[in-house]
Amino acid sequence: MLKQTLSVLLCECTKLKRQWLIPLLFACPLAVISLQFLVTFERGLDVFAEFGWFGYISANSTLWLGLMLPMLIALVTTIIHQIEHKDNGWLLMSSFAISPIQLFIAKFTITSLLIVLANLLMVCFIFISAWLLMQLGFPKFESTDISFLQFFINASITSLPLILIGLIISKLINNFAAPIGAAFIMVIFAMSLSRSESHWLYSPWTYPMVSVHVADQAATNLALTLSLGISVALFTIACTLYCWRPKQHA
Amino acid sequence: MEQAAVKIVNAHKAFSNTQVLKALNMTVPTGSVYALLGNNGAGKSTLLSMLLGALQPEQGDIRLLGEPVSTRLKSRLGCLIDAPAFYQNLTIKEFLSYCAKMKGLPKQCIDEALTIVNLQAKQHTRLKRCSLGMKQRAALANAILGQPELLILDEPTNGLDPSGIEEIRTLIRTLPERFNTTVLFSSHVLEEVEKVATHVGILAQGNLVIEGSLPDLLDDPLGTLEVSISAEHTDKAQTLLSRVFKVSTPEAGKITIHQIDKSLCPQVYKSLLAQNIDFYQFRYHTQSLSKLFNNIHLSMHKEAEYA
Repeated sequence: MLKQTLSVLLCECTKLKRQWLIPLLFACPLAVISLQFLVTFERGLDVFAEFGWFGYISANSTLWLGLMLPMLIALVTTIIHQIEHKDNGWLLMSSFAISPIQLFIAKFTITSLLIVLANLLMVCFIFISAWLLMQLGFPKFESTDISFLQFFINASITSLPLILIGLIISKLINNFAAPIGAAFIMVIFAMSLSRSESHWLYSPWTYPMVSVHVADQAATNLALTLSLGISVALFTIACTLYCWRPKQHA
Repeated sequence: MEQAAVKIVNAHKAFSNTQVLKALNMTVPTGSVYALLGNNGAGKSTLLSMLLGALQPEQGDIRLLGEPVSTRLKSRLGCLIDAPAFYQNLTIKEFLSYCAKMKGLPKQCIDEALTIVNLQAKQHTRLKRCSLGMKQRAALANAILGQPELLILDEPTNGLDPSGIEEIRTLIRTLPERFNTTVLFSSHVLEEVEKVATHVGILAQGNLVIEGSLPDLLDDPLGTLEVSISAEHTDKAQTLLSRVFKVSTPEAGKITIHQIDKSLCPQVYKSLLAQNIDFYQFRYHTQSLSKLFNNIHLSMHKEAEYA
């Protein structure tokens, strides 16, 4: 069973060949870093001195965790399912001796790995851009309140419910606009909600930001716990959805 | 008795308020090439999708190779259903390699399948750049990967050029002998079915109205004799032949004798010669599949009108 699931996972990787996914994984964190790098460079040392490296990293992570990462997740999950929606992929899948749950596990694992890779790239790009700024005369990089390891782990864990929601929506709806549109609305909504100390927990789109940014350790832990709990529930829903056979016409 | 490759008993399937399959019974003998015939919307694709487990019947029992439809059983099947499914970003070889991995088959079977469908030269072409015919061949190559025990094909010659059609027909016809495979295919082309199939089932209004081996279904001892006669001798010939046979003259110079036994044809020939009636064509034919198909639909249509 495990061997077969691994084989399905490798097969799913084959499908990503010549897709836009891998370039997108590089382009999204690079876009965030480039923007912040240029803004910091343009503002100069005087403005930088006010918040130092903490301000630089915070600005990058806010843009990444609050906007770009949720949008990237929506895009990746949509592409992963569009591969099957196009040209009868689901029917082809149903002809193989694999269970729908194995297929879902493979798709979920691949999406999660891609998002982990995007988070890792983001951390790497932060380092590279900091080094570049130092070469341009900015102060020496010093440790900040944000731990990079914590950033990477927390961002990856809190991405899980968003990945599962993205997979569920894009499995149910066969088009690009709906899942991405829904993610965009939720991101805008989360931006307002994340400012509220008591209401942020109602939207999983706020969890990545809360888990990295908020100084309150209890809030960070709650965001992580909620992410894992919601993920378990959503995973069960998604498995049921994969086993459900849609009605087709003669 | 040998086990049936496909056995369906009392299968029902409905979509919303439309009953697509009604108490359907079907038996595909092992080693046969079984053609499923039916008009558009008769339920052919629904039936084939049900065999693959992509759709569930509301009622009834479906057994393939003696087992109920299950995920495990699919490793013994090959299929081509509906519009062929592909990943356009992959080449033909990558696509087949993907399918082989999903089926747990060794890499060698990819080259074998490519050779059979004559696609070796195009194996590195990306599927999005392939013609419909090439895609159909690639889908067939996927279906025959690993020499499955049962092959389910939905209109397998769709989109192929005339030479491609002939190649695929030959392939389907020879599969039971070459790989010990039972083939179940659907088609609209009656001529194709007559050339390829050993068994036929006709699906109409959600039910299999007729089923059996092709020679048995077409084995009607009485056929039709068509004689083309010079126009001035038509009346004379009609008077002569209508004494014994049921004769019609659809047009001047043409006489049709219905329901005549083949053994009587030489007698008719001799009688015409003896009466100095000039004729230039003498053609006897028995029941064709197309006639059988049309008769079934005509009778069903009449039944529906009376109901």
